[in-house]
Amino acid sequence: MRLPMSDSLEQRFRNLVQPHFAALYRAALRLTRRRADAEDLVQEVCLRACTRLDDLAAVANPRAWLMRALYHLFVDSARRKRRQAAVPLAGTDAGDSIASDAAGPDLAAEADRTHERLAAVWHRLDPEQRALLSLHAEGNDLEELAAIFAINRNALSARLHRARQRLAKLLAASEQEPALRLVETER
Amino acid sequence: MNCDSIDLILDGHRAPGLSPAERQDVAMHLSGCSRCAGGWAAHDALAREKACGPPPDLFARAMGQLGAARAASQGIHRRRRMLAGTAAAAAAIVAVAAYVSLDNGVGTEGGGLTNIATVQLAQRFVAGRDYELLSAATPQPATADGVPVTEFFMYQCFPCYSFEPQLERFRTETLGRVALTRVPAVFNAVAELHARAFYTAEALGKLEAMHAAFYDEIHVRNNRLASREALAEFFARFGVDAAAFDAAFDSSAVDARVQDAIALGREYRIQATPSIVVAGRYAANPSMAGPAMLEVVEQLVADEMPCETRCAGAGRLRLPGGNE
Repeated sequence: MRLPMSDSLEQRFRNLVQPHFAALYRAALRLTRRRADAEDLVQEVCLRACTRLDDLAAVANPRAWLMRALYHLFVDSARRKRRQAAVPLAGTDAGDSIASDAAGPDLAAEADRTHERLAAVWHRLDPEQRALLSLHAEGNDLEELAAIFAINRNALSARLHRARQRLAKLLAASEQEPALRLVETER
Repeated sequence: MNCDSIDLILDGHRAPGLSPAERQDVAMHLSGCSRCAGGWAAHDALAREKACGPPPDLFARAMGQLGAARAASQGIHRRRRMLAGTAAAAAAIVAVAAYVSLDNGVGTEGGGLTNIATVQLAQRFVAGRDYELLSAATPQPATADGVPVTEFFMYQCFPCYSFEPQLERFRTETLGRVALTRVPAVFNAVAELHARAFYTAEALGKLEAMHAAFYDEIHVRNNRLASREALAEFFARFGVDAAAFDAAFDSSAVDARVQDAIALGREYRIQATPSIVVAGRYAANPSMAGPAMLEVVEQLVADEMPCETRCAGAGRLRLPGGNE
């Protein structure tokens, strides 16, 4: 069922997308926290890029264009899946995809706990907040994020702050209310 | 150090580069400011996670899917006849098996080789990995028209648009074996509007003429058809005047069809498009089966067909020239 694209199209696509492909995937993995979902999302971005290759070639910052497409597709997908249970459990594929660089057993154990807590509350954030936090955690600065989200820097900084505060509250609540995590996991 | 300074450090990813003195200032501020302490902890938790890179073959897989999607998209305009390689290979296996078994006088039951071919195909696709078992849905056994196969689609869904030529080819090539029904998936308000338009076109006898045009209007001409007025104008191009459109669009019959579509989507737990349900027992979608979705469907249809139909089909394949 797989049919080759024409050589020139394939080369253009490679030139425009491949340099940013790893960053796209890492951002998708942070957003979805599931390997299979990240792969699907990245492939959707590729499909969109392929259908709008001229647009992509014309922009000054292809990486921002691709990240913006990722963001929009993720938000669309999140809306569709709103009612799905999507909280990763320990031992799912997210665990070996997003890892901590903590050294030593104590730090590693603490990192695992943090990772579990994040996973438990992640889907209670708005899709936009997830996208902001993920793309920022992936190392994008405010200028890059402003280009991706198409808002000015001050508004972006305020939204990022609110997203952080929301995540902090959810993390604090999950620490104090272990029963809440259980309900989330089993939903 | 104040709250704004903390925000600047976090926003600018400057925490790892702080000097010892700055770290001390930060620690002092955080100890007395719960707002900043929470934000810092959240930022730190995310920053400590490191996302791994993509699987080595993911880019190649994406390229492969793009090639298929583009070819399918071009096929809408050219209607070129092209059999999918693997599906053709699968059909060839069955054809050869049927040919040999009939030549060997094994009998009209199909013979051992056909069964071997079927077993080989069956082993390729697995429930839970390549398709889903719908244990809670009502099974739909095969009828004289064939095995019931239902596609759930949305006009605004680009993969559905790309998939449509393949599905249409599949429909024409499996006439008599497969009874294909298209059902609009209703995931949002625009999808519901389009579902209503789909059944309106069906009620007016215009569906055959409008179905592919509907996709083209959205994905080629970038007209989202996201309002009743836009739909009325679109229907007018197919000779449906405003009064006829309004009467059908608002009719209780169309409303019932839309509600049935929504109920069916729920019964089959449709969460993505395009999805294909075979005999009310199995659901396949691209996220599970990838570009091999129709091959999966072929296998499931073969499994659902009554034995006598399977064997009769095998006999037809044997005849020279490809015709009965």
